[in-house]
Amino acid sequence: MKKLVEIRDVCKIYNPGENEVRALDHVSLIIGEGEFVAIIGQSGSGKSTLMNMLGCLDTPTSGKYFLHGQDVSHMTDDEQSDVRNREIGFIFQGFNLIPSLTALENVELPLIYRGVAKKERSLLAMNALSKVGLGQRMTHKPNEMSGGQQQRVAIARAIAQAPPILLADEPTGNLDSGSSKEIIKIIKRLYSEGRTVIIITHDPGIAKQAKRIITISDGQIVSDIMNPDYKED
Amino acid sequence: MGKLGEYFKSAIKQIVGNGYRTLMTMLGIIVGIAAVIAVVALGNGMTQFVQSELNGIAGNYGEIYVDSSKTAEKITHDDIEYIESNVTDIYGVSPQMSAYGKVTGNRGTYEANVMGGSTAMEHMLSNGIIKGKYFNKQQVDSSQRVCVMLRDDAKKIFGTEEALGMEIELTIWGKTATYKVIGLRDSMNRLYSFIMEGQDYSAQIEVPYTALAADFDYYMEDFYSILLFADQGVLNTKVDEVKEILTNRHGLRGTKAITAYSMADFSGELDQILGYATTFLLLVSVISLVVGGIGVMNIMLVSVTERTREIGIRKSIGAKTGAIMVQFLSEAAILTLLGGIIGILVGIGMAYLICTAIGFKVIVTPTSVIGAALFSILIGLFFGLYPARKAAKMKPIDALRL
Repeated sequence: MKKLVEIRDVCKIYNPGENEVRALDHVSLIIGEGEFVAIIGQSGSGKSTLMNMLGCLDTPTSGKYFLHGQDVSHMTDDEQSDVRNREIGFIFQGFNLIPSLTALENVELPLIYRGVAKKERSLLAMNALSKVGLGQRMTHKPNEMSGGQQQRVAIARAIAQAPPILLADEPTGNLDSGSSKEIIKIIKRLYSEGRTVIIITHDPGIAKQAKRIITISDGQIVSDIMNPDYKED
Repeated sequence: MGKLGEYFKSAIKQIVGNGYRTLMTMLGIIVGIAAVIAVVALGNGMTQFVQSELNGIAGNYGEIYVDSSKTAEKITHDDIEYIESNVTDIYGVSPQMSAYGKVTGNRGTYEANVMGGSTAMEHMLSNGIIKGKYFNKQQVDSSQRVCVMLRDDAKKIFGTEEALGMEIELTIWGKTATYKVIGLRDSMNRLYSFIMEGQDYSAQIEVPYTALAADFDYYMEDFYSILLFADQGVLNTKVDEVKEILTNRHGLRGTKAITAYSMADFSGELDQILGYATTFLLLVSVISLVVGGIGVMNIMLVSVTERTREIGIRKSIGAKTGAIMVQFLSEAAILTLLGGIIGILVGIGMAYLICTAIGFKVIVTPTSVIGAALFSILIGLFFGLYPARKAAKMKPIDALRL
């Protein structure tokens, strides 16, 4: 298995000084291509910081982060934007769609920033929306859709440009159980199509769906196991 | 630049989506640009109006005179003849005499401003002869008692415009003589009436200077000053030419005894004054534009704060600093351009209303319209810069955390 993500001895310290908070404390982690990983931890465990680090939304205080073998831990703002655009598809707890844009336009957005031409862009976006079962709702705005549908739009946006990593932060946190099941099903399907999926959650029920479960507490990885109960759908 | 087009589109969407706020934000720009357009149009109209009316009153003439403190020489009939036959492109020169007196016709007696000149004096005023003829050289040479008056004066003095051939009595310095009306001038223009408003009215009577001199004991062997009549375009050069001729003929080189003043100088000065007035008003309206620009900046700052999350989302999915910058800048620029366009329309409307109410010609130049449009874009870019930078520099995690 090829290394996709490699974190080496990463620390993240907030408020350096007497009242410093060690959100990540010498964390090292390797995730290979095509893995399905859940990172589970209580709130305040440092899982969100880890997710920000993995998503190139934040830089470590010390240590290194290699993505595809490339050191991305100390890039400029614009270089990080580029890496996020190319390598990572985000799925957030709060969906994070832009309210003034339609579903299609939201999905097109990362493609615009990548510079994909109009025709190809709408084709890719429409494909992605069909994949999450929203082929009929492309012109709806976020406030005209249910939470589950909004999250599906967000997933379509994450996969539209086929990034190697899908990074999901509590993807079902704002959803009812029915929608949750559906979202998990879609994520699993994306995994089975060959994408690397990383889910960050506090919910053991969600974590149980993944193939590999990493538990984090107080900024440190306390366990890293292959899920014995993993079932392919 | 397909990307740029996308940013524009999203900016327009944002502007349209926030209709009411957009309008309120644009208000400052609308008022500012409208004021600029209206002021420029008004300034142009005023300048044009004053110029044309001024030519109407003052006419196209220059005065050349002898400074009696510097020489005992005076301008002679020979000088006048020499000038008229040697200087090209002039209507002629004329001695000038004027006197205040009374004029009596069959409808009563009025104050009168009597002007004596030669046949070239016809060109002093731009309101031409509409009935009859001006007095000719023969009538001047033979001191005939003929006169030309304004149409309005004829109505007062005789009660009719059909005054040709009628007679008036001119009384000056206790002497009275009878003159026959041979020509009528069109009425004076509005600027003249405006200036003369509230003053005691006096009729304007033009007569041959020879007749005036003979009847009322004016000296006419030689003169301290003469008038030169020529078109505005050549007036200054012709006045200088005549000044040179007189200086040479009387051997007054280096004495500066012959001086001159032309109406072209006067209208030039007036132009300058009007120019200052317009510039001042323009400055005031530009200030209102700047105030409008600050309004745009404030709203953009509010918008950046409100849309922090959107900025975070955009950055997290790959928007670079430049992209966010362009998005907010184009939003500000489109906002002010839109305000500018509405302002131009409102301004033209205002210019029409005001100019027609006052009676000026409406002059809206393409330069002022294009200039105003460009300037409004510039305001957007300038005042949008700070909010756009603020948005672009946001860190995605900080923006998403909210």
